[in-house]
Amino acid sequence: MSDSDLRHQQSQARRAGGPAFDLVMSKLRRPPVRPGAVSRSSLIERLARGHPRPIVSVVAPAGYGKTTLLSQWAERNGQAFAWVSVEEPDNDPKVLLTYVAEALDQVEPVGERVFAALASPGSSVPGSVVPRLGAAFAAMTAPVALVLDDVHVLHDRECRAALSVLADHVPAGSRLVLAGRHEPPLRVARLRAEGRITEIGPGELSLTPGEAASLLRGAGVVLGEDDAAKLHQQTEGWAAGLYLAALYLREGDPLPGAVPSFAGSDRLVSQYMESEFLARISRRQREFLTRTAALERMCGPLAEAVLEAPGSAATLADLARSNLLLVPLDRRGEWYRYHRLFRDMLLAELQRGEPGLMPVLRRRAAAWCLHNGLPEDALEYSMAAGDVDATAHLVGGLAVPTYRQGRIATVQRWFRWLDERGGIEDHPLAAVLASMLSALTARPVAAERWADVVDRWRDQDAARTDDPVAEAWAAVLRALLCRRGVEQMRADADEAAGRLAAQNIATPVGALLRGIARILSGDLDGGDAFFQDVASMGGQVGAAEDFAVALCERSLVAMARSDWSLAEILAGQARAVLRRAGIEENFATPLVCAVHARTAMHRGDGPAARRELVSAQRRRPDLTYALPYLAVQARIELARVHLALADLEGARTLMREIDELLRRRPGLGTLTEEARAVRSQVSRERGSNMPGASALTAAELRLLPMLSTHLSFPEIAAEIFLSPNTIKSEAFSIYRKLGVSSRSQAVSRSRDLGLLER
Amino acid sequence: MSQTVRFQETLRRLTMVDEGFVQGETGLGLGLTGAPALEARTAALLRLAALVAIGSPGVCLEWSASRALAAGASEDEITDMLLAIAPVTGLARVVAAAPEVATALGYDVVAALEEPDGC
Repeated sequence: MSDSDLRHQQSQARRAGGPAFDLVMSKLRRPPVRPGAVSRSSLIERLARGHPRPIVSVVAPAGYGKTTLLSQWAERNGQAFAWVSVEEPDNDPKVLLTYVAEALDQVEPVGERVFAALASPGSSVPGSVVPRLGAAFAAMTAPVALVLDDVHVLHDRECRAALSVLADHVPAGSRLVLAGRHEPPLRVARLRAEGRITEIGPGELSLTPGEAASLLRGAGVVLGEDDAAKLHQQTEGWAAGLYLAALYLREGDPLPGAVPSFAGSDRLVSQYMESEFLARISRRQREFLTRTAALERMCGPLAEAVLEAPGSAATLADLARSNLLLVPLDRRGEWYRYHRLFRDMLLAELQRGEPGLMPVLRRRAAAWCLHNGLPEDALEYSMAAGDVDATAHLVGGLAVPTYRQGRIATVQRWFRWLDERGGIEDHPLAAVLASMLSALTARPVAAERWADVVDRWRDQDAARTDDPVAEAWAAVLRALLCRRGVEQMRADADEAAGRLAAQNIATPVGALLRGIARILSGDLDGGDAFFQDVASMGGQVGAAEDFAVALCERSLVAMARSDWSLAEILAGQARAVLRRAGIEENFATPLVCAVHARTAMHRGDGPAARRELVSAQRRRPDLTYALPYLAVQARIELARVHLALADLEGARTLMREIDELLRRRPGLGTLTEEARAVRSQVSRERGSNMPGASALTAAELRLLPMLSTHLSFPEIAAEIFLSPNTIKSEAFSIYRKLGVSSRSQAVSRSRDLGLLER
Repeated sequence: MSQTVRFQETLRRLTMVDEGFVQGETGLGLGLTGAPALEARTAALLRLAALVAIGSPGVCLEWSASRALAAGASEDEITDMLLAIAPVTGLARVVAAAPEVATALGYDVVAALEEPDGC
């Protein structure tokens, strides 16, 4: 298959200590130096001279030769280079940082822990991923230059914040190089003041007259000195302009007398070159160029499928040989993409000349990709084509695996795209998935919203198309969210199990929810039986979370029966299941930690119990009223341990959260009574000390990892949709509870306590 | 890392209401141990009421409301207290205090009033 070199195929089982999803390997490959490209020796010397500063920023508009410069530097330098070509889908921090980790890993292993944090759906980017990656980077023994090209494409705040922190971890002798069209996401002023950054801009990248002449020669154009100087002046040393002028000249015509300036402005290039350059090549070639511009990456078969013109593969090969505007992406000469500036120009021409063709081309590309084992590319092309139905269908298949790979931001982007086009309203399965994934990723408001959509679909008249699979999952969703109390949850779970079985869908979630519903109704034996069913389905790919929750529930049942040795064994199994599946932290973590804390307390191991309480704190904000029974259960058990450790403030904080949860979901059966018991115990206690770290509220725990970034309070506020004043107050409250008086001290103390990773 | 200058440290700890620091440096007993006839939570509520009544800066209100919660007062008790004192302190004091008290109760009232999909 032609894509085998392009992508790194993963087997079903995730490679331990490696990336969780298929990487596009061409992004990690340094673009080769092409014959005919001008040598940038003087700039390269400047980069290598003297005491090299750890950060290099290369900022210039398109077509100034940033990539060429860095590629040549990499070729001449003895140092190891780790390269990442950034693209739009990298605006998911887990994706971007996976590429960075893999790039570094190819130089020197970064370690399993980095990839474990990246692959885990629930792990916090600023809290876990960035510290681990930063530590791995800082610990590298051989000097390495980490290059991120086209970094201007990153608009996601978490991605930008992550790079800013990574810049603090560059070890001695290594460099972090960020190249893009505008200022990199770094604290440039501060780095300048500290003398830690080398900046290269359009001024330095402009070609000298000598370099310009060299470029023209390399392009096969012979000009007199005067003409060459005039051209250099008109383009102001802009490499892309010079090159395009050279291509124009190569077609045979001399430079006309009054030539408008080519300098730097994309618009001028497109106005002039589109009409002139494109007018001079054959119609077949022009069609080929403009139509293939609709593709992100192309190979011969894809081009033929999209253009529906035989011989496209040969045309592609010809073009690749004859000029620099086509960039090879692999060693075998199969995949290419256009130089970005050239592509922008061609797309503009396509848009002007044949506007209705773009979605058609993209749809063909989607079909080819789907047919050739590239479903995510098919999805991106469907979105680009505005094809809502195809996208919804693909999202239905890709959402859950992508979530399991930890790429939550990517999944959210897909659902947001569908939502904006009314795609979710018309596709019940998409709505069910959107709701479920929102529930599992601590977005209860979104979960409820999509659940309402699913309910509306269900209540509509029965003349709609029958969709038994969607009906089955809709029942699962209803039981999962438990919005109408325990009795309804029990009915929904039973219905779900029946429907899933009728559709031959093997999943443990039905049995799990049936078991929980029975536990909440006071039927411990019935519930336990269902949880054992879940265990017997064990070994299923991707069911680790359900499995772990079932084991925790069994552990709680064992505790209720005073069988503490069994409870401890089951707790250990729950943790092992998650670890084996490569899931470090997720919504189930507080429950797992809670059962461990209780068993630890029972055997008198206070310190171990405290450690579990801290671990539970990290992920407690993730367990919301979207999964009300787990949220309340975990907090009740944790509160019991806090009380046993004489930590009244911690218990009170948890009790308040339990009360809030029960207000939203009053019908939780036996949990209401259990909560009452804990509440009376808490209110019996007297005394009031200064609240400490254990009294951090869920909101404060959510803010804590963000304090370790370089984002200002207003930026954090914008990121998590709160007002800046609230962030300030929450931060002060955190400082008080941690006993510190500054942000950096708060981060440091949190790391000491285990609330944040080092 | 720059040296922490003493006056800067003092100002920071005052601005954020660092109890331990204030108690240690000024002798102001901010703990709720000196009122045996009152439950801790009642004393804490009364302190908050007093701070509201004299028109305190936001951070003091937030700190005091957190302490009230830590002492066992409920959210409803705190907000009912605001309503109870309003007739004698005046509307303005209570309205001024509401947002900061809300923050201590974990409710971003300003964002809630702005939020298009809010309750």
